[in-house]
Amino acid sequence: MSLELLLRPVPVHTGSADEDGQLVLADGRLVAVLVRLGDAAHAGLLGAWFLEAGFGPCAQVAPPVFSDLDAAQDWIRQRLGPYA
Amino acid sequence: MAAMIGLFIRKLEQFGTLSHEERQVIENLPINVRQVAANHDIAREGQRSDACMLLLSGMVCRYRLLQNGQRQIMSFHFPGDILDLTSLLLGNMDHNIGALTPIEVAPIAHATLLDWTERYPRLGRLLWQDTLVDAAVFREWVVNVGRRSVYARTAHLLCEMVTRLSAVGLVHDDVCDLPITPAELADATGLSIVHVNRALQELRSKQLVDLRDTALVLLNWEGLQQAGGFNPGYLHQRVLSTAA
Repeated sequence: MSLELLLRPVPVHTGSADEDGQLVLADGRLVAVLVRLGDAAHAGLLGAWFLEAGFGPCAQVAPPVFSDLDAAQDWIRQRLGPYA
Repeated sequence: MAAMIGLFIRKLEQFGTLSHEERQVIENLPINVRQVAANHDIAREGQRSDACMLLLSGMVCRYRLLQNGQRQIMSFHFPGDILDLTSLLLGNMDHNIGALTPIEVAPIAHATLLDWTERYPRLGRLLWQDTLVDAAVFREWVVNVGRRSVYARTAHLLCEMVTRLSAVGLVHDDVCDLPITPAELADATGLSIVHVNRALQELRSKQLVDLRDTALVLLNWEGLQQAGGFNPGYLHQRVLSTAA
């Protein structure tokens, strides 16, 4: 059974030109904050989505970068496990 | 190449002057230059080697790979450095040594080094001191990776590289040949590449330093050191080379 995630757009103060963010909620709880890489400093990663913050099983010492929001959500679902 | 042997001697002599005989022994070392391509390893975790490598040109790093494929770079090394004195006495490698650029190395057989230290105990002590400086740098890296902010961590590492490159004459007119990528900086600071890119952008916008493809341009050396909380004492450099 696929876990339902709720995405809510939110501007994030990252201290850089990356500000376009999404809160990711699962079962009413915040599990991650994703930010779209908009700063030219990111070169080839421009437009990708970054795990700005992860909570619980989504907390990572080395946060990943995702090509798009679908890939990000797939990863988050995987981290959260097979239960809803 | 003779220049690099000279550089190695000068580095050792930071801690004590070699006798004429001791210098000769090093200068008379038969040199078989080995060229290694970028992104190739010159030593592997778990393996024994029978020689230490004197780095003649290019840049290498020590690193470990985690099971999930993530890399932690534990140190960088520059021309004139000898790699890896640890393997001389400890046997199996506990880390990998990889070329980050095309490099040239001159192997010095373990048997030769051990013979040197038997015949010239003071030379042995100087090699020991070199290893101690290595250890001091690792301690600073623990602090860097453990406690500094993203911004300070990045600035500090760049300060260290500039200081060490300057000591071997590789900084000219505030520009150093530094073919390091943001990914390598990330693996060396325990950060994600996104954080490193942001830190580099902030350092650039504050006009402290500009890391380009193959060069690091120093814009404000004092400011960069402040940004990283950098104090070069841990490098224990006694003699800085004059710019070439």
